Amino acid sequence: MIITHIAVEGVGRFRGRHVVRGLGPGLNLLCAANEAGKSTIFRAVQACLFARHDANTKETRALGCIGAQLSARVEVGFKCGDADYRIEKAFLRSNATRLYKNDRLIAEGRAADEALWSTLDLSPGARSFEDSAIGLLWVRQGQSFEPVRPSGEGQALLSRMIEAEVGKVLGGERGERVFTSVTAKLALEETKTGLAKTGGAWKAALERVEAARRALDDVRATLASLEADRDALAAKLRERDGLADASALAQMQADLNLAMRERDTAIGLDQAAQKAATEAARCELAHERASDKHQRLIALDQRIAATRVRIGELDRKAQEEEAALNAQATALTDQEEAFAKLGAQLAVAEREADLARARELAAQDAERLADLDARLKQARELRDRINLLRQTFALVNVAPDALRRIEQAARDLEAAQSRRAAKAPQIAIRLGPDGVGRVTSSGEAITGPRDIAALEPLRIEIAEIASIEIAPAATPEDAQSVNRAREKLERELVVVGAASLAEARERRAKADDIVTEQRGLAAELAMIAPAANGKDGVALLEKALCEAQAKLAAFVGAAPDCSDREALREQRCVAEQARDTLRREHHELQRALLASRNGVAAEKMRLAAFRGDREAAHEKLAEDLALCPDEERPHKLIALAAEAAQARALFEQAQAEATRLRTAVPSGEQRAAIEARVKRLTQAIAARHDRLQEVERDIAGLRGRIESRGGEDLGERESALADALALAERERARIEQRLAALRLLRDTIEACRREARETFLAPVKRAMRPYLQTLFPGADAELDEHFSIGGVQRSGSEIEPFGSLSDGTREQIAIIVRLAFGRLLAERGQPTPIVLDDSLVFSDDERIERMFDVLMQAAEKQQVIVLTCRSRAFQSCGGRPLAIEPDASPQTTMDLRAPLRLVGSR
Amino acid sequence: MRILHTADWQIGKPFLRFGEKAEALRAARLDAVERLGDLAVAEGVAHILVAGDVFDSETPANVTLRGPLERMHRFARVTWHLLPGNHDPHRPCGLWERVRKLGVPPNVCLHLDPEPVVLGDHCFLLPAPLTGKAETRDLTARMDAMATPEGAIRIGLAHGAIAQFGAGEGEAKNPIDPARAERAGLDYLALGDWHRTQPVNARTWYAGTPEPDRYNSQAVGTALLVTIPRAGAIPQVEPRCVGTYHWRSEAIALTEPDQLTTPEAALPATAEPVSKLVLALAISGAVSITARRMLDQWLERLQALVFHLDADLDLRIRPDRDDLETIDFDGVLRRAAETLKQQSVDPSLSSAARQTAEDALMELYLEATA
Repeated sequence: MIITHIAVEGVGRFRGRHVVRGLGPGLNLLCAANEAGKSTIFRAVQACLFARHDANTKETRALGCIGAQLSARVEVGFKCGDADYRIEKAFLRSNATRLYKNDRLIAEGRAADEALWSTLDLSPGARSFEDSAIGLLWVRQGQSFEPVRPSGEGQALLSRMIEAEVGKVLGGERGERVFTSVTAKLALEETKTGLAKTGGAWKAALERVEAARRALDDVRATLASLEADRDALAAKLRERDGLADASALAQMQADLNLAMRERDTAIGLDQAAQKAATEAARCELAHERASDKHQRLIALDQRIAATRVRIGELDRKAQEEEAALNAQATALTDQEEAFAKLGAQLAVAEREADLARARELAAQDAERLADLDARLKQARELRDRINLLRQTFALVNVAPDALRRIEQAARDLEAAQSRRAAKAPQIAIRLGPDGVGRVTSSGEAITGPRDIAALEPLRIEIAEIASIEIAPAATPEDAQSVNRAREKLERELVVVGAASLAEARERRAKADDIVTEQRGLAAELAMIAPAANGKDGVALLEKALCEAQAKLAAFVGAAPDCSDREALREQRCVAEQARDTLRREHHELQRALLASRNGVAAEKMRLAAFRGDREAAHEKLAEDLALCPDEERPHKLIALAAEAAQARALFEQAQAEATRLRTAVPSGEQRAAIEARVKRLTQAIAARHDRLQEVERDIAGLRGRIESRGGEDLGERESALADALALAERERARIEQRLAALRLLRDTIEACRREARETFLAPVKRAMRPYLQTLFPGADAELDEHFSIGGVQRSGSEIEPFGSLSDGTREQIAIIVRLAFGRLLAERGQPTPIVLDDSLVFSDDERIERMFDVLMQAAEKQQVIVLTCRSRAFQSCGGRPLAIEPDASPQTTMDLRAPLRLVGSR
Repeated sequence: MRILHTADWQIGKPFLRFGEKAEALRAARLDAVERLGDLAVAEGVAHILVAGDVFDSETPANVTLRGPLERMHRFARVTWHLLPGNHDPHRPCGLWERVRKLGVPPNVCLHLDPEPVVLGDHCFLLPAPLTGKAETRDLTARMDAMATPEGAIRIGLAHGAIAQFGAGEGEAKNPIDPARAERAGLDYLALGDWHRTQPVNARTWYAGTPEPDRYNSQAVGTALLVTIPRAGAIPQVEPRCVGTYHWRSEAIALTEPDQLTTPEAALPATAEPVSKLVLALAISGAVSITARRMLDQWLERLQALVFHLDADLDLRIRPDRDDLETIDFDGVLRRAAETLKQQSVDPSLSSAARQTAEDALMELYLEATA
């Protein structure tokens, strides 16, 4: 189909007839400004070709003329095959349609609609333009970048085109049904991840297998347990038989009896040996006693002889000691007589020395007595003066606190006065030459310069000239303050008895002087008559004086003149020297006497010791002789010697017997071994008995368990469960085998479909490829079986989904796809015009140039009509330029006045 | 002396894999006991020797224990001699003690000890009861030392497998010296364990089962009627059929499309009555899909004909042109069918993968023709 011309009248803004002439094969470019009516003409052509003339749709109503109630008339001329056709349609009012072929009317009305569709190979009565095949290739304004999604009609058309070439490859409805059925069956049985699906037969089979296996395992476990119990029971029974073996028991008992006899024999031998040892010990003891007795008698005899020797020696020594003692006693007596004599001489010398000393001390006391008297007198004077000062102090003293209060009161008064004075105006009176005597102040004449502080109201009169009254600024409170301060000061002064602060201070100073003087006198008094132990110094001094006087009086009453102190001293010294000499002699003699006495005492002690020893020896001798007198002793010695010898012989005999018996007794290890054997056999027999009872209990328990389980038909259940498990596993295997087959079938069908799709879409891709590679060298597009474009692959890179591309690229790809479809149709004998209304709006300058190349390539196969308002951008597009022109030609085919025969009017 | 020799009753075997037919098979085993009794009475036999495996498991339910006992009890003039086998060995607190507690009918003897027992005039039974599931010793060796009066008929009763001694004694389970009858001076040795009526030698026989329980053992239930004229004489042994069901195992190799005609044609001639036939049928070969569908129908008819059918199909699906065109003449489905067909014969794929491809092809066929 090639559109040759278009005419509209009463459509949109085209009130009058307007035409677009010169359309032809290849690229046609209608470039007009906005609002020129390009899209209106596009819609009018669509309506003319695809809508019924009597249609009352939104699209047909939109054709109405703006501002006029006219019939929308559209005329489209086109070539199809070898014929020229012209279709004229009137919408909205006076609906009509006429179809001309080679200028000959061939149909009118509905017939013309259908004849037109038949000519264009369109499905009659499509609901909308987009549903038709041509809708695939005609792109409205603003929809150029939408992805191409052919409608069912479009798909069918394309499919018919392609299937005519590649054959029926997709399987059609049957193939879809089979695939859907297989997929559905698989979906019932497995999840998307290939696991058994709940509710499916496979899942159920798996669960049955698992359940059967679990049940079988349980039963087998129970059987195994039962088998174990049986084995244990058999073992217990064998053990019981062994334990109950009488011969073995009898043998053990016989061994035990033998061992016990051996043990008893050993015990008997040991007891006999012990008895013999006891006897030997007894004989040994007897031998020891006899021997000891004999030895004691020998020792006694020896001791008696020794004692006698000793006694003789002691007698001799005692005699020698007595002689020595007598000599020492005589010497001692002489020494005592000399000592007594010397003592008497010493006593005389002592008295004389004492007397000389007493005379000297008396002389010292007399001197001291005068001194004491003088001191006492002085001390009394000082005391009197101190008392006088104390009295004076009491009269004049002003306490420091009182003085401070007086001073404070004086300061307060001064402050109050100052305050008041500060408030008092200062009057300075200066007399002029004629002023003398003429000025008075409070009645007092002013004779010279005068400065007055007006503490009180003041009246200054200037004789017959003026009178000046001055009232001070001080308030009554200020005066009261001054008065209070003054009263306070006076009170304080009264307290201390002073007339003024100065007097008070003077008295205070005087009191301090008195105190100072008093302290000096007290210090002097303390030197002369110091106090002690809380007692007054003067009193102590008086007492000392009295004592000295008494002492002197006592001495002077017994001796002669004591005034020459030097002589007295010399006398004293001589007496003391003589005394001292005698003392030394006395002392030495005393020491010698002591030594002599000690020597005599020691001698006496030695003598006593010798005598004591001699007496002890005599006593000892008497004792020993009492034990065995001399006349008996020799016989006894002989007898005891014989007894000892006999006891020895008995002992040796008993010892030999004990040794013999001990040798026959089994060794400790042997006896231990016998004892161990007895113990072992005893324990073994007892353990055998205990074990037998225990085994009997175990057997009873095992029997009970086995008997209780033996009736559970475990064996039958095991067989049944084993069969059930085998059945379930076979069923599962069968289902899994079937699922594997279904999966393989599904995958095989999918693969075949994929392959078929590739084959099926190959022509479309082939048609697209030159256009696509003009835009993107090396690129390829992905299409699904519904001819929708999924994505673009550029030069071997990953496929980019269509939606991820930019608006401009999507628009370019969408246009290319449409061009490819058009090319496909054209190559298969059904060329269809492609109309692009205001496309390539998102393309940059470089891309748009490439798209122009694409359009030019496409225009070689089919008519391409481009509508645009962008004259500058499409300058290099090329193609046949078109224009919308008013048609002033009188030979119009669409004569509004020429009534159309209405066909099927409403 | 005439005896009836039987063994391996295995009462209580579940046969669950036979589904709803299991109960019938279980009941048949008990029915066989009655038929043994009937046979004994008819032949005037006073002793029936059961050489082991009376019961299938060692822990059956009480009702299972009572089943054969009650049936044996009915034949008061026949003495039943039961020997423990490897399925029902005599062990402490085992099955046989339970049987005793339940009450042994007076005409039933339990031979639980390896001691000679008088069967009749100058006839002794020498039993060798098993005391475990798997003995490594030949328990029949005791028979050599079992003394019986001079001139008495000695009949051995044992359960186990004939073993070739010298080839590693102790390895076989429950081994029995094939020369035991000669060694022990037996006139007849009645054996059980092999589910097949089988002579070992002139004096030693396996009775087989009175009712088969598996394929490829014995086709029909059998007992042996044994006649021993006198001590030292060769016994006369007559197999007698006592079973209900026939067990057969057949194989068919399909090479021609029309090879399977009627189901009856596939049945062995000796399988009468067909309604009592338990048939294991192995079918192998390569068939088209159409033929495979037809085979399913054929098997359905055969299953309805016999008592039970175990069909083991080892078939290769080789779709022909008609099969493929039935799926589709062209398009995805046809291509898928072609692909699966190639995979089903691809030698580089495992047999499991090839089988899966065949199954997928069948599924495709069924889906396409649904």
